[in-house]
Amino acid sequence: MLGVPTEYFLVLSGILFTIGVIGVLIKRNPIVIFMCIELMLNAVNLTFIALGRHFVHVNGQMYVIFVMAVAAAEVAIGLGIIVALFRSKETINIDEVNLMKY
Amino acid sequence: MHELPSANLVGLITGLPLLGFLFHAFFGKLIITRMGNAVGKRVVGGLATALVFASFGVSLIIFSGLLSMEGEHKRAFASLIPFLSKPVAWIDIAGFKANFGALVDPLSILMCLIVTGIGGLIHLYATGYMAADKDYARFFTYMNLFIFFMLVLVLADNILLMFVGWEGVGLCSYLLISFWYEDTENSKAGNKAFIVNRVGDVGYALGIMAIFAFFGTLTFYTADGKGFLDAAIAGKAANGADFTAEIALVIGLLLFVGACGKSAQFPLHVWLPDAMAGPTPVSALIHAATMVTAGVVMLTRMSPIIVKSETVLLVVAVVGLFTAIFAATIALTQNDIKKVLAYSTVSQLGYMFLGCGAGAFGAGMFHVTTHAFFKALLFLGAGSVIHALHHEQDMRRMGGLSKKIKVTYLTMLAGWVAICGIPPFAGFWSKDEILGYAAGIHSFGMLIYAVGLITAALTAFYMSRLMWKTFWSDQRFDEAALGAHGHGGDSHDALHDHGNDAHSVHDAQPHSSGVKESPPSMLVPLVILAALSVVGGFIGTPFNNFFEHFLEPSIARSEAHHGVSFLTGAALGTIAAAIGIALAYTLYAKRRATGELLTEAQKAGNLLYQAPANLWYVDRFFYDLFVIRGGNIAVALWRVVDQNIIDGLVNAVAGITGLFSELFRRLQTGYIRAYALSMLTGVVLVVIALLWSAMRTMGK
Amino acid sequence: MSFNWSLMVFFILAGISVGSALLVVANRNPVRSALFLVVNFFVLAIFFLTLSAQFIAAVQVIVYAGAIMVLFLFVIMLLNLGAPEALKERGGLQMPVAIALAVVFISSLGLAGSLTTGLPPTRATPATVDGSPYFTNRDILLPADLAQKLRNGADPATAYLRDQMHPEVQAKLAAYRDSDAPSVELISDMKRELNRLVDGPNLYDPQRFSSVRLSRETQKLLNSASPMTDRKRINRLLLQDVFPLEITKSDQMGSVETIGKAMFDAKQPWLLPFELTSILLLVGIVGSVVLARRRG
Repeated sequence: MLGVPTEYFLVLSGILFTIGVIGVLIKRNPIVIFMCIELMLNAVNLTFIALGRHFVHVNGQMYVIFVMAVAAAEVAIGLGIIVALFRSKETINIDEVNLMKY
Repeated sequence: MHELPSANLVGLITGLPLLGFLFHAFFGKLIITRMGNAVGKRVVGGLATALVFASFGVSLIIFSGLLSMEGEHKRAFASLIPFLSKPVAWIDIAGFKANFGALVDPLSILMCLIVTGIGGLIHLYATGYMAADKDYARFFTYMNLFIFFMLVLVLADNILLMFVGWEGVGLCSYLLISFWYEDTENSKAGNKAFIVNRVGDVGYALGIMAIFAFFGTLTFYTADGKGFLDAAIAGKAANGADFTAEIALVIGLLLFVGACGKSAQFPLHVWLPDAMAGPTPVSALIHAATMVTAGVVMLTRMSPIIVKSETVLLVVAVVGLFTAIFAATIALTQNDIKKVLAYSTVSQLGYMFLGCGAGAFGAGMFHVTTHAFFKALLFLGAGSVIHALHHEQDMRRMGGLSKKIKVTYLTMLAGWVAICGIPPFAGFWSKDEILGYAAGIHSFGMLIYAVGLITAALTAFYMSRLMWKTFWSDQRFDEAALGAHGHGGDSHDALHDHGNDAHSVHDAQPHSSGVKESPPSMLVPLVILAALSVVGGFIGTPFNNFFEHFLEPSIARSEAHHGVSFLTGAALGTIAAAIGIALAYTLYAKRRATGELLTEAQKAGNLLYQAPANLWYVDRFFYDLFVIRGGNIAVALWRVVDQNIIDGLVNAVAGITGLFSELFRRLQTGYIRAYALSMLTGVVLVVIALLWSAMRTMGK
Repeated sequence: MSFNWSLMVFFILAGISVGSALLVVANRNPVRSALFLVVNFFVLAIFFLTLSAQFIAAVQVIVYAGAIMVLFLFVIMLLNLGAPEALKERGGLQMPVAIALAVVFISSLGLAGSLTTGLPPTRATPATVDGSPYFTNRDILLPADLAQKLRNGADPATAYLRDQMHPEVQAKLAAYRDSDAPSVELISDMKRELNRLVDGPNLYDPQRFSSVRLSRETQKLLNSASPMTDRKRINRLLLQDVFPLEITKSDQMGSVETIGKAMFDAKQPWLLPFELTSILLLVGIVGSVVLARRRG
């Protein structure tokens, strides 16, 4: 796969990112929403690594490490929120969680 | 020696009272509650007094340094922050510069000595006078703050900082007049003082602006001669333009309005008599000895500008003279002992202004000094009388006290001869000096001199009347009833502070009755001030005028000169005083029993009595004009303009905002996915905008 | 032009990743979504591997496909959400608007891509990808140290290498002072000279390299193959043995060593972010413990 142009990876990453966006917007299960966010983050990781190879620079990969660390923290917190939410609401349908309104 | 090494200490003069203020403000009440009433009050009052006296000590050190200073100017610049030699910048914005600095010169140090010296004595007096007050700590907090601001006023090296002190003493005056704020009348008197002073302060503020506009600086003097007074002496305004009489007219009149407000000159005198609602030490310190003379101090400081304009000088002289005789006539008719002294103060301030108007600022300041001695003495003596009579202020219920309160009587006697102008007591020298210069005013000099002499006679008369009614006539009160009922019932035509002075001292000795002499803490200041009133004049006799010679470096040279020789003046002045005293003697000696010249019926029918007794209707006129008519206008504006137009506009804006929020709040659904959707919409819009701009750039 | 196998593999893998991503979104059962996400992560790990990011690929499998996905499944099971639950849909507009916006979004991305003239050509043929032994400027990690070492020529190998360089470059190195940051010009010069050395005759001489600690790979290559055929590769390996810190190692852009060095090198900007991230993770752990704690 050495001859695959960098642009192809970028297009793939864009597609995966958009799928993630759609998932965040249309899913009602917050766990799946989190999965879609992971999908988006991974799509971004792909661009970092593809461009890192393109420019022969290790910084692309360095960013990915930080993205992964933040993602891990975010998942830990997010799932904690979901568990707490479930405890108090007995459901996790985010359309039934609308306390942040006027 | 052109330097003043002790100038570095000048920050201590202001710093010590400030320290006292802060200490009492935070810990005063705590100390009194923790250490008990007796001990705690002694600590608080003692500390406040000691700090003012310490400040006086520092002033003395600098004063002695100033005496031995050589050179023409006798001037030093220092910081108001203790131990700092260089003034620090207070405001420094784009050419507008004001320092937090002190100007040490004869004028400022003289005022420091008066303020801290007399102030210290009055603090001492107040420790006795206020002993029973529940707000003892608050009183000394205000008093120390007043001393601080007064010292800032006199020491400031620029007119803006002087204004800070000016407003500060105004604030303290207000706080102390309405010290017993539980009585509405006192609050009203405080408000009146504050509001009338605002009128004058507008003039002062405009004067500051005019000075900055014409000179480009607000500093009085600088070491390298760049201050605006330096420029005024050199005859140069900003940008090399000439300092003309017109400029001096504008600045001088504006500043004079300010001085009128603070120093209670006609027509802004109306606040001072009402200010007697405050405790008597306050009346003595603020409303007789120090703050009210700030106008004279300011005019003296500004003398290089004032002397440039003949018109300003004449206006100052005429207003001063008119105020002097005007207030003296009112003082003739007052029955409240403090009101008599209040109008007397207004009248004496008129004399000081007359001196300034004659160009004899040194003479004006001399009268400030001697007046501080004898008027503080008279007020404190009156306080002692009031104290002795369990808060009786109405002279119609006094009399025969000369044998009962001997020390008070003797000290009051000293004050009386001093203010009447009997040689060789303090008042004689200063009053004579002013009248001598007034006679030298080249237009109407002799007329002014004549009116001044009449005023002197009136002064002698009303002061003798006061002495008669209080000390010499027969006793007109029931001694046994004293102290049984605190405040005398039907004297409410007199002063408002009547009942209030009552709760301050009354509780001190609740079980004693009858006339009682005041405690030593009150008598000691009286004796010291009496001594000063007797001998204080000798610092400025025409034979060896140490006083005016000392002040010379601070004052502009003017064309002032004596219009009458010393001997003629002294003779005429003494005769005027003698006439006043003799007239009072002949009239009152026959009426020892009643102490009244006219019966109530005669008073009611006599317009010549009624007019001054009603304060020449000035207060009533102001009340009608500003309070009633002005109030009606204000009500009309409130009902029509404010409620309909302004509130309508505000309500309309609020209504429209409400309408939109009602509309937009529906966007805030609380659904996370809706928020995510709007976020994506934003992202898409940004991307499209970026693309659009990129395509435009490429198209070029 | 021959059939491009690598492109075909790319398209197959890309298809799998897009398909699994779509299934993550389309599935109503969260467990299945999670499993498809694992598939997606694995495919991405393969991409990472081929993009010379070996370490990241390993982390992707271990952390993402492993730990994070286990966490997801654990929460799903904990909350007993395994069965597809009929979640009430609110309003009808969310889905169509979302999809429309997503379409606008990706098409504008595509438009943006078509507007650009494409990526700049890659700076050099990536050494790790095709095994090129040549240096780019970026490969010189510590130009100052490299210039110092070359100038000083403390050991015979370094001195020899310097002497092989162009006289002008030697003069520039001699003029280099420690306090200066090496100019871009000097870095380019050094890179050019190093590449020339790679291209040149075999640098190895036991005497000359006696003070250099040769890596196992270099020794293996020196011992086994015919020296003439792998001359460039041997030269490159020898150079990176002489300057172990100063220049990047061939084949190792994504290796743990490279990443670790970049991470902890004080001259690189990554150390502070790394520490901050660890604090963030700590906060995350504490936060999730607090959130999930049973109250009362």
